[in-house]
Amino acid sequence: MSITTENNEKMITLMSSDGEEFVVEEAVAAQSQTIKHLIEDGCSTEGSIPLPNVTGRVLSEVIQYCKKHSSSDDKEEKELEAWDAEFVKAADDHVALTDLMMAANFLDIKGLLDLVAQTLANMITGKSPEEVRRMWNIKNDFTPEEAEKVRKENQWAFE
Amino acid sequence: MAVSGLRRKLLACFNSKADVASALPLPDDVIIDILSRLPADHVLQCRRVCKRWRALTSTAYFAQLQLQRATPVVLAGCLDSENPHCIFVNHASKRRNPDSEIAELNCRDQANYYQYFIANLPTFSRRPLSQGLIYCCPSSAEATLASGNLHWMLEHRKDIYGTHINALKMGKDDDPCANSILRFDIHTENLSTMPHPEWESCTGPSYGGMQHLQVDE
Repeated sequence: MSITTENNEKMITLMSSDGEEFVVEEAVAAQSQTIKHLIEDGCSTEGSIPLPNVTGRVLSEVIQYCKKHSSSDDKEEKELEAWDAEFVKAADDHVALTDLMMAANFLDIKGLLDLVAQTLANMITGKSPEEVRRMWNIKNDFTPEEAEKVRKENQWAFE
Repeated sequence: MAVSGLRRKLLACFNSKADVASALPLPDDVIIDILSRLPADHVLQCRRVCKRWRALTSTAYFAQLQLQRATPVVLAGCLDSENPHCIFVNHASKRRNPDSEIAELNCRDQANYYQYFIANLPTFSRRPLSQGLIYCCPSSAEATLASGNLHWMLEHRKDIYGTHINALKMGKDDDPCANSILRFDIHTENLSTMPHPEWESCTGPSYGGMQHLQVDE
């Protein structure tokens, strides 16, 4: 997949961990503080920046988000909110969202991070500790005694 | 560079095709970022997930972040005859109706009794609570949230014969001590009263000396 140039913006190439190349306007890519700093520090060789920890699938989603948000300064905030809601809805499940969250965290894109983190938080809401553990393959490392202690500590909230 | 370690983790994460997101633990900052957006009672629930989550959510930094981020939803307020004022911002009801606008619980003084209702803040449209009229109003602006209920201390008024006018349209007996706390269930929107602690050994209407119990979240 490649992204066409529409004007004379300076373009840079982002390369995903699986070798996919994405040509984007620098202004779009620079929404990632990580990429912005890499550009500023001259780390892009011939305009190409390797991102060895983001897959093409995730990167294309991230770029989609950055494009939308860099082009919509003058747009209605409501429209952007609706777009964001659709965007996370399309990510579909917590696995895809977690991938996106990790990428947003690494690339340091605040808006995307907020959006995805809030969506994941909403997903956890109402889930039991066991269900949450299953979501992220977390091991319950409390002994039964410790578990009981923690449960008691927090009991007032759950009557 | 620290990035290479992160890269390994990310690669492992992205390469996993299982229905769990990651074979490796989520980074601490990612966990904090997600959990700090939960209402307080859900944070407590998440402390039971594992030791690491418990430690991460038990710091002063986390508490501060959670306070800034968690979205307040129900405001409880008391509306005097003329001047409405908000009493309390509550974080817990978001799960009940995530799309709802900020709501406000109000009571209005109507001669001898108060009508309580929920108001939506942006429009200030109000709907009365079904329980009808209650003969008292919280004496303090602050409410305490515990177990999904908001609690206020009640001011019991006396009528012109010196008899206590009590909460009750709600069916409990007439003892002010037995009805000294007003409780609002955020989820069912049920209002009720309950006795103050140790009320059975209490000899007089002691609501005036009652301490406001603040639960440290």
